[in-house]
Amino acid sequence: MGSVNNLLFVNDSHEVILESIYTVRVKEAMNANPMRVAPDDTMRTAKNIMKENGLSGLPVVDGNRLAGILSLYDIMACYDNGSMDDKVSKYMSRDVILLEEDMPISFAINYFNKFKFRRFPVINKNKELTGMITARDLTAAMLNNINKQLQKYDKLNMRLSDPDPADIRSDTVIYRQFIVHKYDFENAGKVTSEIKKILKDRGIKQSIIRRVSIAAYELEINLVVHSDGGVLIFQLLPDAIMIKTQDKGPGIPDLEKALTDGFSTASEWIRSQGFGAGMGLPNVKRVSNDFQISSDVTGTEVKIKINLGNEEDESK
Amino acid sequence: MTFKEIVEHISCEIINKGNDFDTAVIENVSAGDMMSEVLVGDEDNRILVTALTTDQVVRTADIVEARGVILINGKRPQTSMKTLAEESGLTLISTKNNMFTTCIELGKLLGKCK
Repeated sequence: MGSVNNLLFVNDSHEVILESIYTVRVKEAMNANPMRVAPDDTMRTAKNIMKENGLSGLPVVDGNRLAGILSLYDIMACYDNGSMDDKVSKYMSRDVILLEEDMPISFAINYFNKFKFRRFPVINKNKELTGMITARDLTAAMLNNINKQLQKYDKLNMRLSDPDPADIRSDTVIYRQFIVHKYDFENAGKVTSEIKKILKDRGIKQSIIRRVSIAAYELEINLVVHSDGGVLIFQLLPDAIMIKTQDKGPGIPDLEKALTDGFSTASEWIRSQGFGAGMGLPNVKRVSNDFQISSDVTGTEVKIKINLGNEEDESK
Repeated sequence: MTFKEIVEHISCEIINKGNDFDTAVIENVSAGDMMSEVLVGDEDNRILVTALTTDQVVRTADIVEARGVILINGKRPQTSMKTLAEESGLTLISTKNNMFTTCIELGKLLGKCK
Protein backbone atom coordinates (compact mmCIF):
# COMPACT_ATOMS: atom_id res chain seq x y z
CA MET A 1 0.00 0.00 0.00
CA GLY A 2 0.89 3.61 -0.23
CA SER A 3 2.98 4.10 -3.35
CA VAL A 4 2.19 7.19 -5.42
CA ASN A 5 3.22 5.20 -8.47
CA ASN A 6 0.99 2.30 -7.49
CA LEU A 7 4.05 0.17 -8.03
CA LEU A 8 5.29 -1.14 -4.77
CA PHE A 9 4.10 -1.49 -1.25
CA VAL A 10 5.77 -2.21 2.03
CA ASN A 11 3.84 -2.35 5.26
CA ASP A 12 1.23 -5.05 5.12
CA SER A 13 2.86 -7.33 2.60
CA HIS A 14 3.42 -11.02 2.93
CA GLU A 15 6.61 -12.08 4.69
CA VAL A 16 8.15 -13.38 1.49
CA ILE A 17 7.79 -9.98 -0.14
CA LEU A 18 9.13 -8.18 2.90
CA GLU A 19 12.03 -10.60 2.89
CA SER A 20 12.89 -9.59 -0.68
CA ILE A 21 12.57 -5.91 0.06
CA TYR A 22 15.09 -6.14 2.83
CA THR A 23 17.47 -8.73 1.39
CA VAL A 24 17.98 -7.74 -2.22
CA ARG A 25 20.61 -5.04 -2.61
CA VAL A 26 20.33 -2.12 -4.99
CA LYS A 27 23.44 -3.48 -6.74
CA GLU A 28 21.60 -6.69 -7.69
CA ALA A 29 18.58 -4.85 -9.09
CA MET A 30 20.18 -1.92 -10.92
CA ASN A 31 21.10 -1.62 -14.56
CA ALA A 32 24.91 -1.65 -14.40
CA ASN A 33 26.99 0.45 -16.78
CA PRO A 34 24.16 2.67 -17.98
CA MET A 35 24.33 5.06 -20.94
CA ARG A 36 25.81 8.39 -19.89
CA VAL A 37 26.95 11.80 -21.17
CA ALA A 38 29.73 14.20 -20.13
CA PRO A 39 29.08 17.79 -18.97
CA ASP A 40 30.83 19.09 -22.10
CA ASP A 41 28.77 17.00 -24.52
CA THR A 42 26.12 18.90 -26.49
CA MET A 43 22.44 18.67 -25.77
CA ARG A 44 22.06 17.21 -29.28
CA THR A 45 24.30 14.27 -28.34
CA ALA A 46 22.27 13.73 -25.15
CA LYS A 47 18.95 13.95 -27.03
CA ASN A 48 20.15 11.39 -29.61
CA ILE A 49 21.29 8.92 -26.94
CA MET A 50 17.96 9.23 -25.13
CA LYS A 51 15.98 8.86 -28.36
CA GLU A 52 17.95 5.85 -29.63
CA ASN A 53 17.77 4.03 -26.30
CA GLY A 54 14.25 5.04 -25.27
CA LEU A 55 15.45 6.74 -22.08
CA SER A 56 13.76 9.54 -20.19
CA GLY A 57 16.85 10.50 -18.19
CA LEU A 58 20.64 10.28 -18.45
CA PRO A 59 23.36 10.54 -15.81
CA VAL A 60 26.00 13.18 -16.50
CA VAL A 61 29.45 11.90 -15.59
CA ASP A 62 32.67 13.87 -15.27
CA GLY A 63 35.53 11.35 -15.28
CA ASN A 64 34.15 8.77 -12.87
CA ARG A 65 32.18 11.21 -10.76
CA LEU A 66 28.50 11.83 -11.14
CA ALA A 67 28.05 15.53 -12.00
CA GLY A 68 24.29 15.66 -12.50
CA ILE A 69 21.31 14.20 -14.25
CA LEU A 70 19.59 15.23 -17.46
CA SER A 71 15.89 14.61 -18.00
CA LEU A 72 13.47 14.99 -20.91
CA TYR A 73 12.31 18.22 -19.26
CA ASP A 74 15.82 19.62 -19.60
CA ILE A 75 15.81 18.72 -23.31
CA MET A 76 12.46 20.52 -23.65
CA ALA A 77 13.79 23.57 -21.83
CA CYS A 78 16.71 23.62 -24.25
CA TYR A 79 14.34 23.47 -27.26
CA ASP A 80 12.42 26.42 -25.85
CA ASN A 81 15.18 28.68 -24.64
CA GLY A 82 18.50 27.61 -26.11
CA SER A 83 20.39 25.80 -28.79
CA MET A 84 20.96 22.07 -29.14
CA ASP A 85 24.67 22.98 -29.48
CA ASP A 86 24.69 24.16 -25.86
CA LYS A 87 26.58 22.06 -23.35
CA VAL A 88 24.80 19.54 -21.16
CA SER A 89 26.23 21.25 -18.04
CA LYS A 90 24.04 24.29 -18.74
CA TYR A 91 20.79 22.33 -18.37
CA MET A 92 21.51 19.33 -16.15
CA SER A 93 20.23 19.31 -12.63
CA ARG A 94 23.05 19.15 -10.09
CA ASP A 95 20.90 18.41 -7.10
CA VAL A 96 20.76 14.65 -7.58
CA ILE A 97 19.16 12.12 -5.26
CA LEU A 98 21.36 9.07 -5.08
CA LEU A 99 21.21 5.49 -3.96
CA GLU A 100 24.20 3.51 -2.75
CA GLU A 101 24.71 0.08 -4.24
CA ASP A 102 24.94 -1.68 -0.86
CA MET A 103 21.57 -0.39 0.36
CA PRO A 104 18.68 -2.86 0.50
CA ILE A 105 16.03 -2.10 -2.13
CA SER A 106 13.66 -0.97 0.65
CA PHE A 107 15.51 2.35 0.35
CA ALA A 108 14.91 2.47 -3.41
CA ILE A 109 11.19 1.76 -2.89
CA ASN A 110 11.00 4.60 -0.39
CA TYR A 111 12.72 6.94 -2.81
CA PHE A 112 10.28 6.08 -5.57
CA ASN A 113 7.44 6.74 -3.15
CA LYS A 114 8.93 9.95 -1.81
CA PHE A 115 10.26 11.60 -4.96
CA LYS A 116 8.63 11.93 -8.36
CA PHE A 117 11.73 10.82 -10.32
CA ARG A 118 11.53 7.80 -12.61
CA ARG A 119 15.11 6.70 -12.17
CA PHE A 120 17.87 7.14 -9.60
CA PRO A 121 21.62 7.00 -10.14
CA VAL A 122 23.48 4.43 -8.04
CA ILE A 123 26.99 5.07 -6.70
CA ASN A 124 29.61 2.88 -5.04
CA LYS A 125 31.72 3.58 -1.94
CA ASN A 126 34.07 5.78 -4.00
CA LYS A 127 31.11 7.89 -5.13
CA GLU A 128 31.49 6.61 -8.69
CA LEU A 129 28.40 6.01 -10.81
CA THR A 130 27.89 2.26 -11.16
CA GLY A 131 24.30 2.03 -12.35
CA MET A 132 20.81 3.42 -12.75
CA ILE A 133 17.68 1.96 -11.24
CA THR A 134 14.05 2.23 -12.36
CA ALA A 135 10.86 0.92 -10.79
CA ARG A 136 10.81 -1.75 -13.48
CA ASP A 137 14.29 -2.93 -12.42
CA LEU A 138 13.03 -3.15 -8.84
CA THR A 139 10.00 -5.22 -9.76
CA ALA A 140 12.07 -7.62 -11.84
CA ALA A 141 14.64 -8.11 -9.08
CA MET A 142 11.95 -8.66 -6.47
CA LEU A 143 10.01 -11.21 -8.53
CA ASN A 144 13.23 -13.06 -9.14
CA ASN A 145 14.00 -13.12 -5.43
CA ILE A 146 10.44 -13.99 -4.38
CA ASN A 147 10.59 -17.06 -6.62
CA LYS A 148 13.70 -18.22 -4.80
CA GLN A 149 12.29 -17.39 -1.36
CA LEU A 150 9.03 -19.24 -1.93
CA GLN A 151 10.87 -22.48 -2.51
CA LYS A 152 12.19 -22.49 1.04
CA TYR A 153 9.49 -20.44 2.72
CA ASP A 154 6.95 -23.01 3.93
CA LYS A 155 9.42 -25.06 5.87
CA LEU A 156 10.89 -22.01 7.61
CA ASN A 157 7.56 -20.44 8.39
CA MET A 158 6.40 -23.57 10.19
CA ARG A 159 9.52 -23.56 12.26
CA LEU A 160 9.14 -19.91 13.22
CA SER A 161 5.43 -19.81 13.98
CA ASP A 162 5.28 -22.80 16.29
CA PRO A 163 6.68 -21.94 19.68
CA ASP A 164 8.46 -24.81 21.34
CA PRO A 165 6.15 -25.84 24.26
CA ALA A 166 9.25 -26.42 26.35
CA ASP A 167 9.96 -22.70 26.13
CA ILE A 168 6.71 -21.60 27.70
CA ARG A 169 6.70 -21.95 31.47
CA SER A 170 3.35 -22.63 33.06
CA ASP A 171 3.65 -19.55 35.27
CA THR A 172 4.25 -17.18 32.34
CA VAL A 173 2.55 -13.83 32.96
CA ILE A 174 3.04 -12.38 29.49
CA TYR A 175 4.23 -14.13 26.33
CA ARG A 176 4.96 -12.23 23.12
CA GLN A 177 6.53 -13.29 19.86
CA PHE A 178 7.87 -10.78 17.32
CA ILE A 179 9.12 -11.39 13.78
CA VAL A 180 12.22 -9.39 12.86
CA HIS A 181 13.34 -8.98 9.24
CA LYS A 182 16.81 -8.88 7.79
CA TYR A 183 18.11 -5.35 7.07
CA ASP A 184 14.89 -3.71 8.27
CA PHE A 185 16.68 -0.73 9.82
CA GLU A 186 13.59 1.45 9.64
CA ASN A 187 11.76 -0.74 12.16
CA ALA A 188 14.74 -1.94 14.17
CA GLY A 189 14.14 -1.07 17.80
CA LYS A 190 10.34 -1.18 17.68
CA VAL A 191 10.20 -4.59 19.35
CA THR A 192 12.35 -3.22 22.17
CA SER A 193 10.07 -0.17 22.54
CA GLU A 194 7.10 -2.53 22.80
CA ILE A 195 8.80 -4.65 25.47
CA LYS A 196 9.83 -1.53 27.37
CA LYS A 197 6.25 -0.32 27.33
CA ILE A 198 4.94 -3.66 28.66
CA LEU A 199 7.42 -3.54 31.54
CA LYS A 200 6.68 0.12 32.34
CA ASP A 201 2.95 -0.58 32.39
CA ARG A 202 3.64 -3.42 34.84
CA GLY A 203 5.61 -1.08 37.11
CA ILE A 204 8.88 -3.01 36.79
CA LYS A 205 11.89 -1.30 38.38
CA GLN A 206 13.70 1.22 36.15
CA SER A 207 17.12 -0.43 36.49
CA ILE A 208 15.66 -3.77 35.36
CA ILE A 209 13.84 -2.14 32.44
CA ARG A 210 17.10 -0.62 31.26
CA ARG A 211 18.94 -3.96 31.34
CA VAL A 212 16.11 -5.76 29.55
CA SER A 213 15.97 -2.98 26.95
CA ILE A 214 19.70 -3.18 26.27
CA ALA A 215 19.54 -6.95 25.83
CA ALA A 216 16.38 -6.85 23.70
CA TYR A 217 17.74 -4.05 21.52
CA GLU A 218 21.10 -5.72 20.88
CA LEU A 219 19.40 -9.03 20.09
CA GLU A 220 16.89 -7.30 17.83
CA ILE A 221 19.68 -5.44 16.01
CA ASN A 222 21.59 -8.72 15.63
CA LEU A 223 18.59 -10.26 13.85
CA VAL A 224 18.40 -7.22 11.54
CA VAL A 225 22.13 -6.93 10.86
CA HIS A 226 23.49 -10.47 10.93
CA SER A 227 20.69 -13.00 10.41
CA ASP A 228 18.42 -13.89 7.53
CA GLY A 229 15.54 -12.84 9.79
CA GLY A 230 14.02 -14.53 12.80
CA VAL A 231 11.85 -14.24 15.87
CA LEU A 232 12.29 -12.64 19.25
CA ILE A 233 10.29 -14.23 22.06
CA PHE A 234 9.64 -12.29 25.23
CA GLN A 235 8.33 -13.80 28.45
CA LEU A 236 7.55 -12.10 31.69
CA LEU A 237 7.67 -14.57 34.59
CA PRO A 238 6.87 -13.88 38.24
CA ASP A 239 10.57 -13.78 39.15
CA ALA A 240 12.39 -13.06 35.89
CA ILE A 241 12.27 -11.92 32.30
CA MET A 242 13.31 -14.28 29.54
CA ILE A 243 14.17 -13.35 25.99
CA LYS A 244 14.93 -15.82 23.27
CA THR A 245 15.90 -15.13 19.68
CA GLN A 246 15.91 -17.74 16.98
CA ASP A 247 16.96 -17.00 13.42
CA LYS A 248 17.04 -18.70 10.05
CA GLY A 249 20.79 -18.62 9.65
CA PRO A 250 23.44 -18.23 8.43
CA GLY A 251 24.92 -19.01 11.86
CA ILE A 252 27.96 -17.67 13.67
CA PRO A 253 31.19 -19.28 12.40
CA ASP A 254 33.20 -18.56 15.55
CA LEU A 255 31.14 -18.15 18.71
CA GLU A 256 34.10 -17.39 20.92
CA LYS A 257 35.13 -14.47 18.73
CA ALA A 258 31.55 -13.18 18.52
CA LEU A 259 31.52 -12.96 22.30
CA THR A 260 34.74 -10.93 22.34
CA ASP A 261 34.44 -7.17 22.84
CA GLY A 262 35.12 -5.36 19.59
CA PHE A 263 35.02 -8.35 17.23
CA SER A 264 32.67 -7.60 14.33
CA THR A 265 31.83 -9.03 10.92
CA ALA A 266 29.64 -6.07 9.96
CA SER A 267 30.10 -4.40 6.58
CA GLU A 268 31.03 -0.77 6.14
CA TRP A 269 27.47 0.10 5.21
CA ILE A 270 26.11 -1.43 8.41
CA ARG A 271 28.71 0.52 10.37
CA SER A 272 27.52 3.71 8.68
CA GLN A 273 24.12 2.95 10.23
CA GLY A 274 25.72 2.99 13.69
CA PHE A 275 26.06 -0.74 14.24
CA GLY A 276 28.81 -3.32 14.08
CA ALA A 277 30.99 -2.05 16.92
CA GLY A 278 31.45 -5.65 18.02
CA MET A 279 29.76 -4.98 21.34
CA GLY A 280 26.38 -6.57 20.69
CA LEU A 281 26.62 -10.02 22.27
CA PRO A 282 29.07 -8.89 24.99
CA ASN A 283 26.53 -6.19 25.95
CA VAL A 284 23.72 -8.77 26.12
CA LYS A 285 25.85 -11.04 28.27
CA ARG A 286 26.84 -8.17 30.56
CA VAL A 287 23.25 -7.27 31.47
CA SER A 288 21.96 -10.85 31.76
CA ASN A 289 21.90 -13.13 34.80
CA ASP A 290 21.87 -16.14 32.55
CA PHE A 291 23.09 -16.29 28.94
CA GLN A 292 23.03 -19.24 26.55
CA ILE A 293 23.90 -19.31 22.88
CA SER A 294 24.07 -22.02 20.26
CA SER A 295 24.70 -21.67 16.57
CA ASP A 296 25.12 -23.73 13.43
CA VAL A 297 24.49 -23.10 9.74
CA THR A 298 20.72 -23.53 10.16
CA GLY A 299 20.56 -20.67 12.63
CA THR A 300 21.48 -19.14 15.94
CA GLU A 301 19.56 -19.32 19.19
CA VAL A 302 20.16 -17.01 22.12
CA LYS A 303 18.37 -17.41 25.46
CA ILE A 304 18.80 -14.95 28.27
CA LYS A 305 17.30 -14.41 31.68
CA ILE A 306 17.21 -11.28 33.78
CA ASN A 307 16.08 -11.70 37.38
CA LEU A 308 13.51 -9.36 38.82
CA GLY A 309 15.11 -9.65 42.26
CA ASN A 310 17.46 -7.39 44.19
CA GLU A 311 20.09 -5.13 42.71
CA GLU A 312 22.72 -7.42 44.29
CA ASP A 313 21.65 -10.05 41.79
CA GLU A 314 22.77 -7.91 38.88
CA SER A 315 25.49 -9.57 36.89
CA LYS A 316 28.48 -7.45 36.00
CA MET B 1 24.74 21.27 33.53
CA THR B 2 21.42 22.32 32.03
CA PHE B 3 20.29 22.63 28.43
CA LYS B 4 20.15 26.39 28.93
CA GLU B 5 23.85 26.42 29.83
CA ILE B 6 24.71 24.22 26.86
CA VAL B 7 22.87 26.51 24.45
CA GLU B 8 24.55 29.59 25.97
CA HIS B 9 28.09 28.19 25.83
CA ILE B 10 28.11 26.13 22.67
CA SER B 11 27.25 27.58 19.31
CA CYS B 12 24.30 25.43 18.34
CA GLU B 13 20.73 25.24 17.14
CA ILE B 14 17.85 23.61 18.99
CA ILE B 15 16.03 21.26 16.65
CA ASN B 16 13.61 19.86 19.19
CA LYS B 17 12.91 20.97 22.73
CA GLY B 18 12.26 17.85 24.77
CA ASN B 19 9.75 17.49 27.60
CA ASP B 20 12.42 18.10 30.24
CA PHE B 21 14.34 20.83 28.38
CA ASP B 22 13.92 23.36 31.20
CA THR B 23 14.34 20.96 34.10
CA ALA B 24 16.89 18.29 33.11
CA VAL B 25 20.25 18.24 34.88
CA ILE B 26 22.87 16.58 32.74
CA GLU B 27 25.68 14.83 34.56
CA ASN B 28 27.36 12.66 31.93
CA VAL B 29 28.31 12.57 28.27
CA SER B 30 28.44 9.61 25.85
CA ALA B 31 30.16 10.41 22.56
CA GLY B 32 30.38 8.12 19.53
CA ASP B 33 28.79 6.86 16.35
CA MET B 34 28.45 3.23 17.42
CA MET B 35 25.25 2.71 19.34
CA SER B 36 26.43 -0.44 21.11
CA GLU B 37 29.28 1.59 22.60
CA VAL B 38 26.71 3.96 24.04
CA LEU B 39 24.83 1.00 25.53
CA VAL B 40 27.97 -0.15 27.37
CA GLY B 41 27.81 2.68 29.90
CA ASP B 42 25.20 2.87 32.63
CA GLU B 43 25.59 6.46 33.78
CA ASP B 44 22.40 8.34 34.52
CA ASN B 45 21.37 11.70 33.09
CA ARG B 46 23.45 11.47 29.96
CA ILE B 47 23.61 13.49 26.81
CA LEU B 48 24.66 11.71 23.61
CA VAL B 49 27.09 13.35 21.20
CA THR B 50 27.13 11.77 17.75
CA ALA B 51 27.40 12.32 14.01
CA LEU B 52 24.82 9.64 13.32
CA THR B 53 21.46 11.03 12.18
CA THR B 54 19.21 7.94 12.11
CA ASP B 55 16.20 6.82 14.16
CA GLN B 56 18.43 4.40 16.02
CA VAL B 57 20.07 7.28 17.90
CA VAL B 58 16.71 8.27 19.39
CA ARG B 59 15.90 4.64 20.21
CA THR B 60 19.29 4.20 21.88
CA ALA B 61 18.81 7.45 23.81
CA ASP B 62 15.44 6.14 24.95
CA ILE B 63 16.94 2.86 26.20
CA VAL B 64 19.68 4.55 28.26
CA GLU B 65 17.23 7.26 29.34
CA ALA B 66 19.49 9.95 27.89
CA ARG B 67 18.25 13.51 28.33
CA GLY B 68 19.16 14.64 24.84
CA VAL B 69 21.26 14.28 21.71
CA ILE B 70 23.80 16.69 20.21
CA LEU B 71 24.54 16.22 16.51
CA ILE B 72 28.02 17.43 15.56
CA ASN B 73 29.67 18.85 12.42
CA GLY B 74 26.49 20.74 11.53
CA LYS B 75 24.62 17.48 10.86
CA ARG B 76 20.86 17.70 10.47
CA PRO B 77 18.65 14.83 11.62
CA GLN B 78 16.97 12.67 9.00
CA THR B 79 13.28 13.50 8.81
CA SER B 80 12.28 10.28 10.53
CA MET B 81 14.81 10.91 13.32
CA LYS B 82 13.38 14.38 13.94
CA THR B 83 9.82 13.01 13.98
CA LEU B 84 10.79 10.26 16.42
CA ALA B 85 12.54 12.78 18.71
CA GLU B 86 9.39 14.93 18.71
CA GLU B 87 7.20 11.92 19.46
CA SER B 88 9.43 10.74 22.31
CA GLY B 89 9.90 14.24 23.74
CA LEU B 90 13.69 14.08 23.37
CA THR B 91 15.82 17.21 23.09
CA LEU B 92 17.77 17.39 19.83
CA ILE B 93 20.51 19.94 19.25
CA SER B 94 22.81 20.50 16.26
CA THR B 95 26.22 22.16 16.50
CA LYS B 96 28.73 23.07 13.81
CA ASN B 97 31.55 22.09 16.20
CA ASN B 98 33.32 18.76 15.76
CA MET B 99 33.21 15.87 18.23
CA PHE B 100 36.42 16.88 20.04
CA THR B 101 35.48 20.53 20.52
CA THR B 102 31.95 19.67 21.56
CA CYS B 103 33.20 17.22 24.19
CA ILE B 104 35.72 19.76 25.54
CA GLU B 105 33.02 22.40 25.86
CA LEU B 106 30.69 19.95 27.61
CA GLY B 107 33.59 18.89 29.84
CA LYS B 108 34.18 22.51 30.85
CA LEU B 109 30.51 22.96 31.69
CA LEU B 110 30.60 19.80 33.80
CA GLY B 111 33.75 21.06 35.52
CA LYS B 112 35.69 18.04 34.26
CA CYS B 113 38.23 20.08 32.28
CA LYS B 114 39.65 23.60 32.55
